[in-house]
Amino acid sequence: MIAVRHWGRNSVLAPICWIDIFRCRRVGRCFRHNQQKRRQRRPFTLSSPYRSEIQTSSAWWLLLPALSVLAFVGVLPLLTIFNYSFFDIFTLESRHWIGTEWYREILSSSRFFESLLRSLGFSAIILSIQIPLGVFIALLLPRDGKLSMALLMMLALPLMVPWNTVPSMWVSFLGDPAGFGGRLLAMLGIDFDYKFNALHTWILLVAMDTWHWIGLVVILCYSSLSTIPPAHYQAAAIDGASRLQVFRFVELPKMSAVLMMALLLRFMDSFMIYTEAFRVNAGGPKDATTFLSLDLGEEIAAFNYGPAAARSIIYFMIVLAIAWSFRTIMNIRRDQTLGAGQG
Amino acid sequence: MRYLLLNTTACAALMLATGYAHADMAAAEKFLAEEIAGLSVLSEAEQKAEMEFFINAAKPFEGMEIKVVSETIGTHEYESKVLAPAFSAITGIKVTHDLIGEGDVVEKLQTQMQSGENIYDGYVNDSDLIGTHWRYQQVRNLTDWMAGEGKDVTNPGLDVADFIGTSFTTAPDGKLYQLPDQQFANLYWFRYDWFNDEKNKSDFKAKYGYDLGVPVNWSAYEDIAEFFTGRDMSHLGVEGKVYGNMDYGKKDPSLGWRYTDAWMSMAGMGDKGEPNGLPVDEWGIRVNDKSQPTGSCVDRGGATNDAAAVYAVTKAIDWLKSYSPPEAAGMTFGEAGPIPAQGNVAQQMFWYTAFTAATVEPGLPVMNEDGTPKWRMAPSPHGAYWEEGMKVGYQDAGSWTLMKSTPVDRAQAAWLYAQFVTSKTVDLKKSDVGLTFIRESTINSQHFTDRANKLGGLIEFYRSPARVQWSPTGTNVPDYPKLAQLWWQNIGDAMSGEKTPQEALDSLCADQEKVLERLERAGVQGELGPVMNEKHDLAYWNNYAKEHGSVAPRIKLANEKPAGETVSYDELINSWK
Repeated sequence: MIAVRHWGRNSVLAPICWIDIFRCRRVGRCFRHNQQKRRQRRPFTLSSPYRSEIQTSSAWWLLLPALSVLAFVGVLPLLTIFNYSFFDIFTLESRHWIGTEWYREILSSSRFFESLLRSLGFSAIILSIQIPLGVFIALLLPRDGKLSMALLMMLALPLMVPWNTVPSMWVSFLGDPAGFGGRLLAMLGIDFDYKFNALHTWILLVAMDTWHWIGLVVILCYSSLSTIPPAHYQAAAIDGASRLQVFRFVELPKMSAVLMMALLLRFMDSFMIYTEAFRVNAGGPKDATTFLSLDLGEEIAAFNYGPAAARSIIYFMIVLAIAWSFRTIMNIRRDQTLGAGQG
Repeated sequence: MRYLLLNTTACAALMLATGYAHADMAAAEKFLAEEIAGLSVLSEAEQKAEMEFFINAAKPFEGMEIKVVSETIGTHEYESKVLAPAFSAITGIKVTHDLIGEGDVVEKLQTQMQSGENIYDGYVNDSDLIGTHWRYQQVRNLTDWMAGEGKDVTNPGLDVADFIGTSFTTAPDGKLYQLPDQQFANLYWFRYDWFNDEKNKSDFKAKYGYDLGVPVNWSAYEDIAEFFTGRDMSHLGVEGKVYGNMDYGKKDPSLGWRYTDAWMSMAGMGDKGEPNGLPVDEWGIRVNDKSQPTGSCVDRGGATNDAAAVYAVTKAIDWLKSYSPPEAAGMTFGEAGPIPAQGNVAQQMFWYTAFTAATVEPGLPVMNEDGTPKWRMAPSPHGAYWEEGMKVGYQDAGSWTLMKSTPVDRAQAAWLYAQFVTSKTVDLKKSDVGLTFIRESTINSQHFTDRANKLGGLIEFYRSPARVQWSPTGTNVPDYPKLAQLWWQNIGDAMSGEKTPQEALDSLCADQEKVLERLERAGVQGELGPVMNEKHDLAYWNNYAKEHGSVAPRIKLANEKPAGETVSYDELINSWK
């Protein structure tokens, strides 16, 4: 059998719509936040809890459309996959119950932990490059005028390139003698061998991902920077603040909410990187770029829906745990700064 | 006035009705005149009669829209772009013939199998899946279909016996499960001009003590590879470095079929018995006398990790490293394919005849000015473990497959289209475009006798009795999609040096057995599903094989490089006649 495979972003069992779940959590949080405020404002009376309950339930009703959409795109697939993860599936009619075997198998394999470490490492590198770089570029951009629009659009351009195209573009760019990049590196005497040198494959993947997504971080940062009123800068200037102090005490606090968003989005996307790593070296050389999602992709390609479902659930829990702890840390920090401000 | 109006309307209606019926035949005549243009094994009258069958049989389905799918190769492109519109015009059945990668065809098929939802009305699916189809019983077996529900839509001129690949698409139950639509083999490819050059011949003889020619065994292949690698070929006007072998080794899904497509049996792994070796086949999977798979590792009587398999993988890696262009190790199937045609490769062990059309294009460095090729194809040499009666090579038979989950009327319409694109009326023309022969009558036609010298030995191969020795994956493989996926990962580990060939194959056979065990546990294939053997050591299984008149699994040979043996190409061709 000979064939040409085309790989896209994994479809069916790809970890569920994280963003929606994240948004849902935000909605819940805002809601509780408002409730707290309301409680603070009103002195405690007998009738007030009753009234607030009515308000609560009516507010929940307003959430119903959003919740039903979310149930359809998020919860339902998740439940289906959760269900599949306890079966060995050859055809949907003849599913074979096997309990938690897939979970035990995955969690006891060293390959899983190696892939997990690689995925975490990749995300750490991506975040430590893209977040500072994105902030830096956003600070360099002029605050208004036609030039800033043009620059932003240019930065946004790679965001529109489909996943599958990104690795193809880069690989042909680096191809020697056909690609411009490949020829340039050869001229500089750099032996860039992304096929057999693990470090070079990693460099290529990080460069590719940064090229693809830096625009998102820049745009997010830029949007929050542009909301800072000139008065804040003037005040800082009167106080004789240095550029670093302006950044630390005026710009960074303003950007923090948006940065958290960027951090989470970039973490989740880089943690799930598949197409780029698969198309460049199929997880090689010597498994050096075999991330969690590549293991998952392999199960799907072999039509092993049971193990693939179990993997998806495990990955989902990992991302959820990381996002949760991240948020908790942010909340603690915010409370501390609030406390410090009041003190 | 009213009568006049009625009359005219009636007349117009009548004219329209008859006009439509005529349009069918008119479309058929137009197609025969403009597209087939005499390039058919049938006479004009016979062609028209066959077209009439399609017109009449399609009447109940007029206006129906059906979807069929196949992989993207030249033959299917011709079907999709030329034959499908013609079929629609002739029969009134609107066919959409989608072209996607072979892997995607399998994925769609698998999705239909697992979910029972009708995705395509007809699939052109490699007959490698015959073991899968027979065991899951999700496709219509065509023997019963042609006698039952498909009887009225089966072309009396179909002539199943004329198809050369039906032995590959027939299951052990004797039923035909798929109808071949295109076939190609993988053969040995070499530079006929270099091999016939007197200086090369005398230098080779002086160095190795035997004649330069088509290698019969892997020892000779290795010697020839060594001889040509780095050889100064300027006396033949060849510029640049020359290599004695071409292959690919990047860890990539395309590495899988490089090995599942008979490489192991060419080395001598598995048992004798065409088409695939029984009881152990070319994947190293053993079956019992009820055709139930019983194991893949040596300790269960399989051969995926026996000495012959290790030899097969070791040789491929050695040759890739020592005698191939340095880029080859980082190439995929698609990247490596065009390299021999660029003119710096002396021979390639594993070459698909599907590349013939692309390798005979005028102007290539491997073509003569008169339009004849400078290269030839020949039977692949075999390894040290190979014995007479073992599988010698791979042949792919992309075949029409009708799923049981497709509604009957849609399957009937798709069956008509399948028969149309494989009919004697169109097959000669289709083969002339795609060079993927399926019918005896086409191969033996005068047209290809005339064209033979431009095709580098393809016609000679297909006219020889040897062609049935090249066969697709057989019925020992109970779940092709799940098992095939395991090969590229494990072989890739050996290619990159991460594991030794032995370690990689140990892990491959263990992975295969895991799938077999899962199938056994789930019982989804019933009586035809795997029943695993007890574990024993190699000595036990080797004795067991001897007692039962078979050979696999094998014990390591003391000498894996016997004396090289070659044969003159022209003598070989004569022996085929």
